[in-house]
Amino acid sequence: MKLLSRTALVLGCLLAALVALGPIFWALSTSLKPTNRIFAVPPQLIPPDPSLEHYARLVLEGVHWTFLNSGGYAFAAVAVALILGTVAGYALARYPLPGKPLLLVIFVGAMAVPAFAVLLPTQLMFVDLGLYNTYVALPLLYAGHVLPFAVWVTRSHFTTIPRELEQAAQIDGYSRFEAVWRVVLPGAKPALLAAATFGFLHSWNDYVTATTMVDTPDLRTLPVALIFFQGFHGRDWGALMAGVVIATIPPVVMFLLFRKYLIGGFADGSVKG
Amino acid sequence: MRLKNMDRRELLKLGAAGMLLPALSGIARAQDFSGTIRIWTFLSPEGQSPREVVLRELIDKFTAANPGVTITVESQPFQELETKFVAASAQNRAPDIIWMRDTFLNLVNERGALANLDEHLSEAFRTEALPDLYQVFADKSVIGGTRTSLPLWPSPAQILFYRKDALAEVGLEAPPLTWDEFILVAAKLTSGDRLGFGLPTNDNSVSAFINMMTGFGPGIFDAATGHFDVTGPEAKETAEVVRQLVKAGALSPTLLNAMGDDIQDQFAAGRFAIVQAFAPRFEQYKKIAAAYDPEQLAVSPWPAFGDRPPAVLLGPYWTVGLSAKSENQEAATAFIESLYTPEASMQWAQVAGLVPDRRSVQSDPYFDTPEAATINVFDSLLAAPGALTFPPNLPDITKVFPVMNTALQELIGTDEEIDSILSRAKATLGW
Amino acid sequence: MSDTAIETSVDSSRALNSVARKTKLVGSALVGPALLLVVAINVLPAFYGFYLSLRKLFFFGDEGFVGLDNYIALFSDPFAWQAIWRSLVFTFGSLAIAVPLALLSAMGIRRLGRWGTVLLTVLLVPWAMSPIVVALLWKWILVPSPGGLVGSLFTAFGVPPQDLLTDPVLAMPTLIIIGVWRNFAFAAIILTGGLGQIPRDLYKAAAVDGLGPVETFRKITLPLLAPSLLIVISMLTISYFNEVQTIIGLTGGGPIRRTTTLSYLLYHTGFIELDQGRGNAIAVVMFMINMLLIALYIRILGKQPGGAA
Repeated sequence: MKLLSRTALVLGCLLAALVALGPIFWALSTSLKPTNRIFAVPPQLIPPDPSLEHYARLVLEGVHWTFLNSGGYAFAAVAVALILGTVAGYALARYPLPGKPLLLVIFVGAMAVPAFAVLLPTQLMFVDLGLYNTYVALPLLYAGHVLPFAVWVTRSHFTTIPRELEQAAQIDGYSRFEAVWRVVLPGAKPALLAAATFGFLHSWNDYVTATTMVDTPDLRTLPVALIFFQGFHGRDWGALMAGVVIATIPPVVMFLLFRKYLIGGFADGSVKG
Repeated sequence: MRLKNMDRRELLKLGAAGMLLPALSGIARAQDFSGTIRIWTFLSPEGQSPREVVLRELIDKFTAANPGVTITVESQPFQELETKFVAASAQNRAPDIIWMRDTFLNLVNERGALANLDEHLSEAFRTEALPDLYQVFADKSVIGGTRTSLPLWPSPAQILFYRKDALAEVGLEAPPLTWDEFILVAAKLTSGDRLGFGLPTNDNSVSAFINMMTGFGPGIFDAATGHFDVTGPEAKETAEVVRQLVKAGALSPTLLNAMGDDIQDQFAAGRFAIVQAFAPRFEQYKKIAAAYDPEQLAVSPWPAFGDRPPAVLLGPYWTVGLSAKSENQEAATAFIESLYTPEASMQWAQVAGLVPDRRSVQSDPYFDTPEAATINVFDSLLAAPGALTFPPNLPDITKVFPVMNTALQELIGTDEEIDSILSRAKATLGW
Repeated sequence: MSDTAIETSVDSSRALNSVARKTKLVGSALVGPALLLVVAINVLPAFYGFYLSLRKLFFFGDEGFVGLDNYIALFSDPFAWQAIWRSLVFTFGSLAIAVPLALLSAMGIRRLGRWGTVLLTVLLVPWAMSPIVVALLWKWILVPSPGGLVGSLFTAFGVPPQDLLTDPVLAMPTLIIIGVWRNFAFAAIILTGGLGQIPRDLYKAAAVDGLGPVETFRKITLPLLAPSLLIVISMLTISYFNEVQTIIGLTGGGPIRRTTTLSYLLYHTGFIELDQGRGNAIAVVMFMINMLLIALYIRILGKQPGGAA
């Protein structure tokens, strides 16, 4: 398409990159400035006298524990969602199940329920079950949120793989499970990684569920902890931006590691053919 | 040294009243406390602000005297304290001690979440400390015969902070105390980037409009129902004043979404000359002052209408309560009491710049020093003729502030008729 | 001999039946746990929320069954209709900017080959951030002070820094821009994939036929990209309709309710006014709308060749 000349293209891309990344770099810059220089006029991108005081403050206030909590919950949720989801997706693709259309509707319809709208009923449920404010509460919830997507994505993938592949492996002597594990699953890697990344992001980034289901500081997640820095001290922008930076690093790292699969996975999962 | 003298004086007083023995046994009893005490407050256990420092010291002191007790502080966002507490109480996982705003006492109490402190406070506390607190606040915590909480950090609550250097520019030491003059002065103070007057317009816990309306005195609240007349003449005149403030340039017509924290932030950066602020934050305001010398920060009551005394609305303010479902009520009550000892009151005053809860403490020489000037100003405001509290039965407390804030935003930001704005607010409240 | 034949066939059909049953059991066992978790976490609370919406619930105090009163009160409240309108404005305003932007980005990315993937990764960084973190970040960027990022741009033009988030006219567009900033790269991924599906030969043929760039776009790119476009539009619509965390963090529904969308109204009613009966009613309304949108999405997907349904 000759719609865009080469220079316009490059300029456009640079501008887009600037707009996308600029804010984060500004946050990074702010987080490294001592408090009295944060509002300096004119604003400087490179702090002339960088200071780690805001990061130190985060550690002082125990934010690093919430970092670990967030990570732990996310990994647990993703693990549960992937295992249950792949198994279910395979079953939906391969097995004749009673009421399959209804099952599909349930899995897809579940995605229609925005998590924050059900916060109150969910909280009441969890309290009655004794799960409120426990280490399993958030991983369970996040897994439940991510599962429909994981099921959908794996099922889509499995339906495109001909049964013959597994059957051939079974003829070769492998059990059904081994056949799937060795032959079918490797090809599902993009779909699985896409689901894993999506699941991690959802769990790591969540705020509303985390703030409602968990009361005590030792169980808290990172986004919830950050809100405290806009407290009655006024807004501590340095600490807030330091928090923004550290909250952004894990998701971005996940991206860099899995971008190939994620980009491929999303494109494949949605548009087949 | 001074404190030890007071201890002896107190003991002497008690001895004179023949209460020495029970008091001593009360002290001996302290050693028997054990278990955990969970506290929910907006203060953080690791925080560095003055109030957090004092709380930590008081906790350390209590646990040193009662080694069998572990105290955990779980901080919550301050707007969520009351709701989280009620939910927790219904689900039998409430903390032992809770910080609440006085405006929510009625609601929280209705849910059966609060214990009657009168049944748990020690004899010594009831005879010594209770009468020594500010009665206007202490009485408000008594609902239907139940003492639901104890007031903490008595202060004139939502009051005006201003910069002396800014006021000096127009030849004044303090803002005028009648609205007519205030409007003119605030308008003159708007220059360059700086606005004369700043109000929080989107803070769900305060209403600047109601604060202004109190310039008509406590009569604006109906004694029986707690309502105020949203479409009455006082409200209309208040709305007029708002419109005039905007027209004169004292209030920005586009600054419509500010919360108390935003105002605090921007005041530190020099955006306002006069603002509405929460009195206990005075020391914090000074700490974060960036665009002006913190020594220039001063406090003023609200202007009033006509020749009424300047308005001082005492509320919302913080109170400390005991959970009805607490399993360690004795230890928890003892800790609550430890927040109100004369020593503690001195700490709240000296470190955090707060008016001491125990009035008798004010005879301490510290309060004659220039350091204590602000505290003395707060104290005089508490005793001022224009001081009034929110009626305890103010209905629809979760709706009043957001609705009046929206009305204020409409008054500031639109040209709509005052009558229509006010009647809509009244209809929304269902009053 | 015919007897044994009949026996064998009866045996084998019985055997087939038991195999069929066993297959169904195994299948159910495989799907079971996932189904259970999904129903427990997503479906049950939704029904419970519906039940609660039929009661008068305030500040955790249950005051009894009131039937459809909450819904009637909700739909007679002009503010609720305003909120619905604002949701529409926010959603379609965001779509109007995000989709063309995503399309342009996708086209640019394809042209750049390897660098294109790098660019895509860069553009996805905002999407990877937590919405609440995005709100905090932008609150700082938009802080109306000469020391703020946007504030300094104002002063560079000689204008005192405006508070975009508190201006009744500018607040919603500002939120839309921030929402698009966060989201559009995700749409770009899908469109990039979609563009990749269009055979190069068609373009070569178009060039041979002498079609200009605009015509090529209209006649070849757009029609063949339609499936991806529809998917993108559906996904973004659902995402924007449910957006709430950035509104909570940035404008609190104001000023003068100008940014109170239906989702924010839910938050305000249920968590600030604590009218939990009505809050749940709003939640139910939102479920309905979401289900409608998802149903549409599935139909669109199903209609595409090789669709994932």
